[in-house]
Amino acid sequence: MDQNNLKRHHVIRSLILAGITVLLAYLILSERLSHYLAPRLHMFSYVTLVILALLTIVSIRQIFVGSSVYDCDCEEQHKVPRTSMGSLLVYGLFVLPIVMGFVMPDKILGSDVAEKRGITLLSNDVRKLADVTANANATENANVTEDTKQTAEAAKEEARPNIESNSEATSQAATSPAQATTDEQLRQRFSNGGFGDFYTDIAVFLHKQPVIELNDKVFLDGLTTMELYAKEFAGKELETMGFVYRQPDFTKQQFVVARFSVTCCTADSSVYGVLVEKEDANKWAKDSWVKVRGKLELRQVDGYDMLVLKASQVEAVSAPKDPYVYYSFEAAPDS
Amino acid sequence: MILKIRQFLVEIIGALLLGLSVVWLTMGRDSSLFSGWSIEWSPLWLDVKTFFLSIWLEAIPFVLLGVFFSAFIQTFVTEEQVRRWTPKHPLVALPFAGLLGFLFPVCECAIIPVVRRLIQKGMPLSVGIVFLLAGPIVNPVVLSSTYVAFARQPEMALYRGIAGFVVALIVGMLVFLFVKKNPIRLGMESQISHEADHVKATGGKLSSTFAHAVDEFFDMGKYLLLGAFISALLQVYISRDTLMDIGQTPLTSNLVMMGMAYLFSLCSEADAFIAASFANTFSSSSLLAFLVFGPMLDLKTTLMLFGTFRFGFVVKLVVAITLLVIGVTLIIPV
Repeated sequence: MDQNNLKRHHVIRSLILAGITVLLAYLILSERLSHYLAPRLHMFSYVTLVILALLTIVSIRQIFVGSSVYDCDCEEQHKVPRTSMGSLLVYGLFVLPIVMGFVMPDKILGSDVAEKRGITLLSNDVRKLADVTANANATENANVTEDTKQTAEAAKEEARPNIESNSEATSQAATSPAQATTDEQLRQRFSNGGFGDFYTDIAVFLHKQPVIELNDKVFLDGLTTMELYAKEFAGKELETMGFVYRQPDFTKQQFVVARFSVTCCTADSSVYGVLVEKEDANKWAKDSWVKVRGKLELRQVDGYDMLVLKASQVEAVSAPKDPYVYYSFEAAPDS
Repeated sequence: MILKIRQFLVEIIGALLLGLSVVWLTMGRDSSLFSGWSIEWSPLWLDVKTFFLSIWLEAIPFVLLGVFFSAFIQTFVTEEQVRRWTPKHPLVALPFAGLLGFLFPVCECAIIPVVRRLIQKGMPLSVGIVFLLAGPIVNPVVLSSTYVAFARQPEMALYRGIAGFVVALIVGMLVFLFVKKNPIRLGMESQISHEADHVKATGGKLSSTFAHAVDEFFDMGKYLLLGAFISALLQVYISRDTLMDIGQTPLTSNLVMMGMAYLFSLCSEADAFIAASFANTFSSSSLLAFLVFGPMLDLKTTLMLFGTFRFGFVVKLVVAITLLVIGVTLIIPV
């Protein structure tokens, strides 16, 4: 292999390394790295950026001093592609992500991918979803009697938390230790499942709130908790945010307010969400971001409990900067 | 030489054709083949880009880690040292390699360049293979993430460790008994003599380490990129329901989960969370198959293996691992 050819390879490599370095720096500076990686991996990327910059310098140095450094013939063995066709393919592969990164716009994962992956609802089973929608269809076809029964049930559900909050208010009127005992009582209620202190903490934390705010921080752990203690959480008010997701078998009154969870990178993402029911639910386009508030309702599907959110208000919001949610695996958030 | 070139080209072109045909087949429902290249990007292609860049960005730090570790071994560790540290008797050496992951917790992207270098430095092939297969499973980071992901089934982490160790050990035995020819793609002796040349020529070990790192980054990087790209395509175009419909009996469900582990090319640190998300739809045994098979073999690592070992050896390795993982996971009572 002649020196000029070798030099050309070093030039191409330097350009590619520089491209990758700039791309990574660009993603970090424009704060778009979280579209690709979970925050806990960002630290690795910062280190990678430094190392890539160093490699770029080394590679550029090779252009000039390369021939003297590589006096042996191992370049011919495997270090650089041997034919022009081979180099085109290999370097093309490296150029691809750089071009894609700079040219193609960012897109948050949405319904298209969610449909391929299947979505986990508050019953933790994709397959049940079809049954729920089937049930809903049945209620729709049936007439007003069914409806009134439902509202009666809803009223009953409403009554229960009211009583509870009254008692809580009276105990609050006493002293702070009394508050602690209600916490203690709640703990008792949530510790019988045997799911560990972690979920008990979260269950207490969530259940204490008059309107459960299922924000980005507690989204996943909160959903898991409510799924574990579905009966206890039925009738509670809930507010959350996510993108609108629909499946072909949904009724006009239904959509799922969903979020992608990311563990390391988006390849390991899964979709979690709450099934929302509202009269004019089809007003909101798929993949648009909404804030939903409503009351949780318990359904029985195949002997499983499932929570459905009967929405009282839905408003359109803009997508958050970090569209994905993450497991925290820490103690219950204090606030 | 010409044979080598041809082999290399056939591999790359074959893989590319495979990728292109997948694109072509799946683009069928879109209006035209190149709709992705117009200014109005098709949303599916944007999703492909998201997955592709994401897998790649996630893997780069770990590949670099492996590359540097390997370059470090190349420059600073002598053959003598490798020979002295490796136990002499295979019955000691193989389990030792299986537990090496506790000392060096590297994931599956990082381990291939490291093992290649160790074998070139004189570590017996069978020992290297055991480390290659067991390392990404039997290590504290991966096992603790499995424990966290399977909060309701904590024994899964233990089963994963045991199954990974057993499969790696058996494959190592098979390699020890039946593979006599060195399957590394370039001759060991010439590589080591080059090594001596490098050190002489550069006169500096650090700059030599960096130069090697650049070489290996491109060497391993191309397989990583190709694997990440194909995996991204499949994730966007293949629905999980399709796979689930196939996997109903114990055998087929194990096979389907292994297929998913292969195609998704997840990092062994993260795959437990995905497996846990399947907990209600698939049997525990098939989840175990997913957790054991994925770190040993997936799309990106297979391509990296093809870049490291001879074609025939990789094929045999793939067959042996697949059969053993099915066997072991069906036997273990999860």
